[in-house]
Amino acid sequence: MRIRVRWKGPLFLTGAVFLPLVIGAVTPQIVDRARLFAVELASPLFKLQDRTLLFIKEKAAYFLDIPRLKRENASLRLAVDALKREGVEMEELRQEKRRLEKLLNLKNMSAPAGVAARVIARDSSPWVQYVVIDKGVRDGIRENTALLSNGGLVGKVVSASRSASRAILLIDSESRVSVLDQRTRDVGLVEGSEAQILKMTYLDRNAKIEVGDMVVSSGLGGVYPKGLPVGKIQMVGEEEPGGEFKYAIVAPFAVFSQLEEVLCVMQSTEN
Amino acid sequence: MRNAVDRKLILALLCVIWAELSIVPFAAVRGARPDLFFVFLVFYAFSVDWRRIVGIAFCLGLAKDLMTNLAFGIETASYAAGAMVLHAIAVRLDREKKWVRLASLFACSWASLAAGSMLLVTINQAYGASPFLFSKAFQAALYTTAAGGILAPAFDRWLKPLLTGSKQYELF
Repeated sequence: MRIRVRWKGPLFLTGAVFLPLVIGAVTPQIVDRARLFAVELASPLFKLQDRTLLFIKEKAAYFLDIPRLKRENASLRLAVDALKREGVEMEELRQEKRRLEKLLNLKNMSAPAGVAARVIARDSSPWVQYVVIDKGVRDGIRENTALLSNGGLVGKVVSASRSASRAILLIDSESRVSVLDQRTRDVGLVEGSEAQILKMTYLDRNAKIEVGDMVVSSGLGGVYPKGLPVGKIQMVGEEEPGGEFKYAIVAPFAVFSQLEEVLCVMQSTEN
Repeated sequence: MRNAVDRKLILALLCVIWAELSIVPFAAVRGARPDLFFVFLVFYAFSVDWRRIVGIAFCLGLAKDLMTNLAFGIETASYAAGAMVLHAIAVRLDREKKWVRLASLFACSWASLAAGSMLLVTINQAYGASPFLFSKAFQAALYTTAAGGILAPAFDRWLKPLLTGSKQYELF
């Protein structure tokens, strides 16, 4: 008696399930292009949704704030008068600075060029920490453009389409930033983790870092400008007892769950 | 009648895809977020046709793979794995009971997330097999079940009258 084994169905199913994984591994460029196309395609919808939410938020805040705004308006009028007087003094000082710079033959040290962008979408996967911003190649955004928020460093752009870009956040497991302790100048590497905290690794055993020290980007690697605040040291420990390296847990300054706007820094000041 | 049902189902699916890719990420609590695709899949398996869900899960996974930055194919594989669990449950259990639906939603979403976590750890060395990854999967499955408890009645109210009307019963 022959035993009939049903193998075509399960085999087809297994092949179909693993086919995208194989495609992703063999042709990452095609997958990346397809993803950029998907972001480009979806970005108008994301932008529309973002604008609608912003409009509703603004209108609600406006109506709720009217009494407070009236009080604030009166005090601001007084402040404006004082600022006008200060403005005149500032203009005098600016002209004086220009004259002195010319005199000392100093170069004009300008801040890195930046473009403000809105976060229009977040990654829908529970395993990764990426966002989509509403600025792309058209606005001068390129791969590795650093992103800042009010609190400090947020992440960097990994791919840019014409009008939108995808960016990796510092708390993603694949994120790495070279940093230094602002007080002791000890250099380390800040890595993201699944627990959404930052871990500073490769710290020398003799490093004198302490809880509460501020961590800033070191500028090494040329992606992130030097001196951008990253976070504060929360805990210091040893990778292995008596080992070569120490590690530190860093509490980031940026509030990643409430990220709405970011500043895209076009070039590294280090370069 | 059948066309009206299909149109409503497609519209519901499009709404779910839009909400899953744009709104749900903002509802994350400590990294865990509900998965509306599974809420829809459970509704579809229990109220429409359980035979098609692996195919639908495959397509939804592909859509998510295109919009995420994870290694391509992980979402597709994990959704298909979850749908297979759901398929096995839907065939064997009483599809009319609400607690069975919620338990199935938890089981398939947890199976999917656990399969995804394992694939992720295997493929990408940046993700160590940390307990956070698996506890997040468990939290997300719970969150999905809670979201399903709220959304499933809405799906039922909106789509079930049409579905019931379109069914044909053999009386003899």
